Amino acid sequence: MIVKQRAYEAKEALLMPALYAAQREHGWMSPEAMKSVARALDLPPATVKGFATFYDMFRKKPVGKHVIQLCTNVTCILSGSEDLLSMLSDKFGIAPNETTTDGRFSLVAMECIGACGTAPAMIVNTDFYENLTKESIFSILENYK
Amino acid sequence: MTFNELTKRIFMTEILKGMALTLKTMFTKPVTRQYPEEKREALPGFRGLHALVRKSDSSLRCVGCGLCAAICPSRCISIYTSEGVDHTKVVDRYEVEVLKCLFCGFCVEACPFGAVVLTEHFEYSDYSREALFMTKEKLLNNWDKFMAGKKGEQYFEKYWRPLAEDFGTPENQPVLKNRRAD
Amino acid sequence: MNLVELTINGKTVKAAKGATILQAALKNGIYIPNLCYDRRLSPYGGCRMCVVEVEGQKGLSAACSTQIREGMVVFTETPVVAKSRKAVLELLLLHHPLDCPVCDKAGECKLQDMAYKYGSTSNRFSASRKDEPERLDSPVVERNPNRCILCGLCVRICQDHQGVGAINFIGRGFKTKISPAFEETLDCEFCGQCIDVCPVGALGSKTYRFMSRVWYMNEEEMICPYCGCGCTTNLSVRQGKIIRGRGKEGVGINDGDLCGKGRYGFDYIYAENRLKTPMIRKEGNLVRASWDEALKYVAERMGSIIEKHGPASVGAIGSQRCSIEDNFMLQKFMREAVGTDNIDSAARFGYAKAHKAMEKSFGSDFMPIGWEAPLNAKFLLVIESDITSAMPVWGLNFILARNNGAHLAVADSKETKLVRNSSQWIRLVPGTGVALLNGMMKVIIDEGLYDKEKAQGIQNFSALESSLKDYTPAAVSAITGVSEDEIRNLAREYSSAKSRLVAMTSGASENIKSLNTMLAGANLVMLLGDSPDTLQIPAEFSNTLGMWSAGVRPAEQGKEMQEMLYAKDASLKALYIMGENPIVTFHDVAAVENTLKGMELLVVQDIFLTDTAKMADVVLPACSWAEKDGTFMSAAGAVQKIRKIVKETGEAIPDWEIFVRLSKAMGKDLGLNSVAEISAQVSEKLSTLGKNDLKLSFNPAAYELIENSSSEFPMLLVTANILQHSGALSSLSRNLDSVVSDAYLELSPADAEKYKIINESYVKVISKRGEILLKAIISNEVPEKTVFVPIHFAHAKVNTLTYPAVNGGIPLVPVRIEPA
Repeated sequence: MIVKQRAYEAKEALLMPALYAAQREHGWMSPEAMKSVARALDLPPATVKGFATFYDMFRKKPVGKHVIQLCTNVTCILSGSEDLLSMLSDKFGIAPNETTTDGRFSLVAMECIGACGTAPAMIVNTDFYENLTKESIFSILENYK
Repeated sequence: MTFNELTKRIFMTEILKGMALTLKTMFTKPVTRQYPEEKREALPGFRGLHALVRKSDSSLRCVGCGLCAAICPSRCISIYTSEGVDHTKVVDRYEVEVLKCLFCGFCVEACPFGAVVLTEHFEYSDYSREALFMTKEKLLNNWDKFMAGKKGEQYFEKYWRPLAEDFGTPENQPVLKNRRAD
Repeated sequence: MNLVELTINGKTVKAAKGATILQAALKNGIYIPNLCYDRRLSPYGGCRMCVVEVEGQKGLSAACSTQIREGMVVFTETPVVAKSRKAVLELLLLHHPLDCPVCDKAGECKLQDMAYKYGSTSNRFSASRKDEPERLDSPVVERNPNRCILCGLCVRICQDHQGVGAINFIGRGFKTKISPAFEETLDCEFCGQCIDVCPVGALGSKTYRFMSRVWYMNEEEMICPYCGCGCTTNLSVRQGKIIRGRGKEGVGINDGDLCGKGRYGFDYIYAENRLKTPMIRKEGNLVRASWDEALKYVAERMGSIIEKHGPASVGAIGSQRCSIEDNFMLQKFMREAVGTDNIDSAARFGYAKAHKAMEKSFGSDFMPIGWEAPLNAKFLLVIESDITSAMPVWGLNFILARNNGAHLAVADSKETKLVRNSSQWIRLVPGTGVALLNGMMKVIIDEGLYDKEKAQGIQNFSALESSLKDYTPAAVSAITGVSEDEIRNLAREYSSAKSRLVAMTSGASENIKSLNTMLAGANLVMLLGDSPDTLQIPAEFSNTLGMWSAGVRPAEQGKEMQEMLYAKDASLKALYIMGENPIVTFHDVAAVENTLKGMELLVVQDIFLTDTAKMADVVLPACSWAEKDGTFMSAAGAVQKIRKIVKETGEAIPDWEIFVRLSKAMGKDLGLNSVAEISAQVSEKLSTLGKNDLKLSFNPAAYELIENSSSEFPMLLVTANILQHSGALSSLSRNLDSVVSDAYLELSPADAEKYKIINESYVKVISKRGEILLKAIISNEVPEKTVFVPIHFAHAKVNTLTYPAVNGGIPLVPVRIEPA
């Protein structure tokens, strides 16, 4: 037998949505959040932690109020996203994967977000922005207080 | 019998040839060394009594990997290790039964750290078997006695064996970094 | 079975349909290198070392995850394959430290072997190596993340096979490491399976750390001395000392699976209180004596007691840990040299109940478990037993059965490992398993779900039917705390399943089950027309079944354990105890101590100076299991050899030899002088076992508690086994003690709040028999009004509180707890 037939419905299948829910609640994947997910799903904590640390969209440390996820993959770089990233870094005084001291913004350099046709692109929280320019990026971020 | 052989026999050519050599030797210096008064310089790679290498901080270089014991054809090496206080490997006992040893030198070749050597000392006959049962302390003393100073340093230059360094172990090797050859 | 024919390296081989190339090759003696494959796990395809060339297929295929096809032509060692493997190894060795000289795995390291065969001596790449600290904080398992090659075997064996999931891949990419969830100290059941599967030295046994190198040691196959599974453990011996145990694929009934006891528990033979010489009590103290002196003393004293009080005043206690030969000689000595039938053992509190139930219900005198039985059933019902801790390796078959699609219903009050791996947890009040079974039978009979033809033909059917009239779902629900619907559904699902199995353990230490629970289980089996082997009750220890079959039990008029030790009248004058420690392992210690003190002659033959031995008049040193030849009979009925692999300790001699010498000292020769002679007689005796015809009969079993909780003693004390220990023997193993070394009291958070008990503080546990002091552990696994205590530890004196069950009642102990 190549694949063992499992009679039960895999609890692991619920893990991703549960982790999303936990992240919405806690803001990031704190050990407490992971433990509560493990308890709720009756899974070993190690499994939960393994999942949570594998996927990039689960935050391993606390983030600010708004999360700016700027794509830094090939197409976006060619269209100037590196400049945008360094501009943002300079403006907020933080390196990628850091949070401003006032807790307003977190800057994340993302891999491809699938908007190569309209590069450069970014996601702020859950909102999607494309065809960014040096001017437009700041006016967009003005909306996030 | 051919003519040639006949002449040789008649004129006793072979005997004369031999006598000529004898006569010649009578006027040369004797090659015999007056051992034990007169001792011979050992050649590079001479395989005498065993010794364990002492590092410059006077500790043992051996890590107790047991490769010497594994390769030893006469099974005369036994090593006992244990966990030290700081969780490192400690060689408690390193014993060589010299009477069993056949001085093949495989142990020296097998050692990845250059921690065991065969000294140039070969005069170790004794009245008891115990005296030729080499413990770790005795083997370290052998190093001090016979390989101290330059001799020990040059030993591995004269004696071919693969070194751990020959395999290009990277510098950032984590676990053995304190164990590298000093 | 459908066989598929294929060609591997020009050799035509056959393998089962659905097998992978790797499985087919290994089965036919062709080795394909692999790092992430394990026979017990599903294919992973992670290491890419097993790549092979398949004719007509583009590129290379991973042998571990490619199914075989009819007529497939496979080449495992071609230049292309070798080149690919070389590249894989180059990448693996990029991160793997070259610390083989100090790595304990060296010599049996798969990566080392493969690097030797396929690897390159230089590396084209360069990368930084991991520099993680070694983790030595947990007991028995050490982790060295630097050596890890992330094959995932440990993670998968822990999760999928062992059912624990203590470790996982944490992180991603190069930084991935194997770790418990939050980098904390590893806290699992410490079975050590991960150590065995690790192909490199990333996981190691801490007890073996830097002890030796593999080429110094001889590996000996031995039967594990602990539970009744009868696993074969491979013990490594260096210079006459056992230094390591491990499982090996294809060896023994366990096929390489071991629990922590089998892997680490061997070192009890090096305990400090091992007996080295015989000892005789002189002026109140035990002093060393010679064998001749001691045997002469025993013979004389025994002789005078027989003369004065008759042979019936002598009793003997056999040992479930001694070999069949030893026990056979004990009973032969008692019956022939002494002339008494007062022979019993601790199995009286444990396996004897199962045996009695089987005898009454099925008329069978020999009912070993079926090792594969759990795998052949579609519905497994486990009654108040944590099989995964009492019989850890057999328990794996239950987890495997569930993973393979069977329904595993566990009725238990505590959240045990088996519960966590079950498909249905019926959480009931402790000790009410018999009520649940009766309730199920009531539903089955009322709804006509039983096998009418077969069941009604069995003796006592009407008695059973009438005995069940009080066990309506409503009544049972009130007793067990399980809802009526759940009972009904369970009965319906169980009776409609294609194939069924009822399993429970019969430990002497467990007080939540009794004879009645087992009888009820047997009734359920017969009611549904199943064969008697549907009820699986394993014998508890390594040789319980062997001892029992060798005749260590009263045959006719002899006294049973209750009469020997707990009777008020002191009719026994002399007691011969072999390898048993009643002061610790028997219930109601005060009563036992009283009886032992009243003995005119107490002879203790043991390997340790136990608490009982300290009371003895004569102490005789015996050889441990690894120091003598003999046989054990596992719970599955397999008679397996144990061999002398290390030298005896001090002057100790094997138990059977003590009886040979002692009988000669008494002037009665038993006529047996060697293991071979004894074995011949034993096998004659054993050959008659299980040959009798079955005679089925229902035995109504009522639910009753012998002592119920009251306002003075409101809690119920449940004694239990824990996974890391087995009887009192394992507590003498230093390795196992590093995992759990002290008794504790588990209680629910609600109770802790009620009685104001702080976690890990000491509490007084008081029953009407006495009081003890234990460390409290607050645990969600335990139901309210119940406290759990493991029984293995002599110093905890848990048996001060317990009492032996006489009839079929449940011997739960009502207690009161107070903060100390």
